[in-house]
Amino acid sequence: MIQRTDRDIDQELVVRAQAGDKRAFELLVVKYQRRVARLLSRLIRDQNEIEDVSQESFIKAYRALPSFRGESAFYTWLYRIAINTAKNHLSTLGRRPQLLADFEDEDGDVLDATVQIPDYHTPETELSNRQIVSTVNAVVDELPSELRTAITLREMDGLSYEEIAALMNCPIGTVRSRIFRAREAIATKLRPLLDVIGKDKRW
Amino acid sequence: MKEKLSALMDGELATSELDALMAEMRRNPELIHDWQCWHQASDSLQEHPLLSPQFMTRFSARLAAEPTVVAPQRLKRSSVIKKLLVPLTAVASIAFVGVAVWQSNATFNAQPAMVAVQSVKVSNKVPAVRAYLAAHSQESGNVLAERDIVYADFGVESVR
Repeated sequence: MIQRTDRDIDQELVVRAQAGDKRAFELLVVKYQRRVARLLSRLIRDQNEIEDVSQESFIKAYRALPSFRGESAFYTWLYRIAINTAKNHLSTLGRRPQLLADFEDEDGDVLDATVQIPDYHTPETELSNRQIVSTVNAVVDELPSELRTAITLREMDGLSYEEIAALMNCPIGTVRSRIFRAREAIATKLRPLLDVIGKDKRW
Repeated sequence: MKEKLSALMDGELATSELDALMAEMRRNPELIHDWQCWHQASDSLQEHPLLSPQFMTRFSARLAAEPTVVAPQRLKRSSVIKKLLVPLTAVASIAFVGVAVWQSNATFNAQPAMVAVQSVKVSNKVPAVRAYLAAHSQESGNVLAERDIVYADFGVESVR
């Protein structure tokens, strides 16, 4: 069986977005919005500015979709756009960007530096964020052990279904089912909270 | 369908299933909410900063105002195909060699059969058989075969 990767799935969604499916692009935005924000938080301190620049970055990425040919991963391409958008933003305000070198390796490729970046919360969002994080962690702690192990290996350790199946000594289909059930259990507790916090019915 | 959405989130959904899932998403907005909620939970577990709840509403409104990008085929959906291509090429090469070897063996083994063919030729002296073979040579489009028909001894008219 051919091993698919996140990159393959991203490219499939990009193909659809390039063919005019805006929904496919929105799925990518949902996936990467917080990672982009985390990247930008290294360059921009103000939360509102981070959100504005994130929005601008995704719009620029959408407009530039015809130029994306898949030579690099979608997120690498997207991070580069986000960094350039942030540089332009800071330049407009007469500020100098910092730490940019941290995001590029010797070949000039943008690294997924988001994992190295500390959390950045503003007072406005801190309370709701804390509630969300504590709710998610509490549900995960209460999950049956086989669901907790599967979702943790996937989300925290980034293992593939095949690797999790080998570790848990069960079929891949069982891993897929356990991860889905874990997500449903978390979402059941999280949805009411998100509704109260956001009243955001569309997404 | 929700389990497939979960698999998509993990990059574990078969490409062939993606179109059906995307179509289902258009029919059932609940799947979009799941996608959003699961990513929110995932990002919480991975300690990514959480944006304001209005972020996607704002973005969707902006995106809706954008001219739709239509640039099909700019990105080859070939990463999986490329991965398939290598083993397929290898299998095709092995198959080609196998067929070549088999054919050479078949040719070698076919030598005794030539004797059998010659024994059939002997029976061509029977006029009916000659006419029959001549008629079939004509059907096969062999121009020279027509000459045979002209000069053949048509003992049996009905064959023509």
